Amino acid sequence: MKITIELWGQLKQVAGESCLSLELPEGATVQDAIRLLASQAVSLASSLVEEDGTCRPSNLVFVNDHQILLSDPLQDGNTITLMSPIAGG
Amino acid sequence: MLSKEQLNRYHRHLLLPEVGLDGQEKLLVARVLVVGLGGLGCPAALYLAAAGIGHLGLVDFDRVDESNLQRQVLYTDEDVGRIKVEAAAQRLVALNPDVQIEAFHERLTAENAERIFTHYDYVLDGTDTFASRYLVNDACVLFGKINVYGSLFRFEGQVSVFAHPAGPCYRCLFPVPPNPGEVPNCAEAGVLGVLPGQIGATQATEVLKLILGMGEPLVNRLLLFDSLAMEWRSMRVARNSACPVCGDLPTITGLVDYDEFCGNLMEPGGFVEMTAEEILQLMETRNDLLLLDVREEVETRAVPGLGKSTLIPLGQLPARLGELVAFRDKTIVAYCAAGIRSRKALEILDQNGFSKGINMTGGINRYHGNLQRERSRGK
Repeated sequence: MKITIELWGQLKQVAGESCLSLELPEGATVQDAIRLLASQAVSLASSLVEEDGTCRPSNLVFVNDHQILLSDPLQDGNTITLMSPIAGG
Repeated sequence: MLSKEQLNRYHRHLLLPEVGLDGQEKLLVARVLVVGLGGLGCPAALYLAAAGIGHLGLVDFDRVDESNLQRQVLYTDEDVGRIKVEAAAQRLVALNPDVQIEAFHERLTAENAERIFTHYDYVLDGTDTFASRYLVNDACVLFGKINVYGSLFRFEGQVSVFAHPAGPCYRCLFPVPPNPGEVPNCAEAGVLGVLPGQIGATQATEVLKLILGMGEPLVNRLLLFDSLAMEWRSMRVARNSACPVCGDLPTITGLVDYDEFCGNLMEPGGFVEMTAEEILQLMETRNDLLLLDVREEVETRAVPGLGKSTLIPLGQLPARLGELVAFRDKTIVAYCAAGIRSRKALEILDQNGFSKGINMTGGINRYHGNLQRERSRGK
């Protein structure tokens, strides 16, 4: 299935682009998508996953503009929005 | 009862049935605290004052710097060096004499938050560090205030309403802060000057809506703004019943050490930024600080340092670390002319096991510049 990834904040700046697409097997979860993205986009890896492979808890993750659990399954055509926290004022 | 002048001043509000006389009277007795008089706080405070918010509290420890003027629209060129809350209060009262201003020239801390928050119902978060974001949030939850949140990064912004009885708090969305130094602030990453205008004005809009009980406030929604795509997005968010501060079984029942929580002063590279004035204030209560001047000796002859400092020029620091071994457990306050070399010094120190550090923002030149301006104003 095809998943669209949107990046915000520092993640977008590091990646140099705001929109990416991923091909994932049926039944893949949000966490699977983030790990695959980390393996494909090396510049983002340390911002997305910890050394032990778990997803960084400081990032906000939405699917189709709704907050989700990392273990939630994805469906073809879903859009994942990944956002690093920001604090500027 | 509105005076004749007030009927005229607020005429455009009075025309709106959603505001009207009753609404304007609500605004005139409302109590709103603006924390941080920077990019967000300036436009927000301007619109809140113009709208006739009766009691406006302003919290900021800082002074106006030239680099603020690109976006902090309360200040003029002549205000450079002035205490922000004083310059802001003067401008806001000139805009609307109906507004009573309470100025807090201090850094919001776990120790003073209750005193500062106590007389206000709404808190507009215009701060600029993760530690202060968590502090504002927790104080709002614990003291029953509504947190109208906004933040910025380069060309992007976020707005939401947190700690409202019907929605999440900041910690529900961000249970864990990023690693220290991982996310650059505006001073490091830059920010489009007009962006805080859009985000700060949106925060002010939410405050007015909440006071007037009109429309749909940004409760359970996080609004995202991308100025390059010129796109607003509304994301659905929800309260986390396991949230440590607003959840069903809270574990945080009082304010904590937010620098420690965010890893500042403790983790590698996590040194904090403070102005010379704040450092002097800190030195009154802390005896574990070491002042380290990393300028060249010739510079210290032209511009004196701060108090009793140890002088080790940056270029000599790696070879002279041995002189600092006795201070490994102390907090090292590094400074130079402008605050750039001292950051490099703190990075070198951090790599060599000196993990507690404070960088003097703007350096010693800024401090002496402020002193000079105050003297020339006859203060």
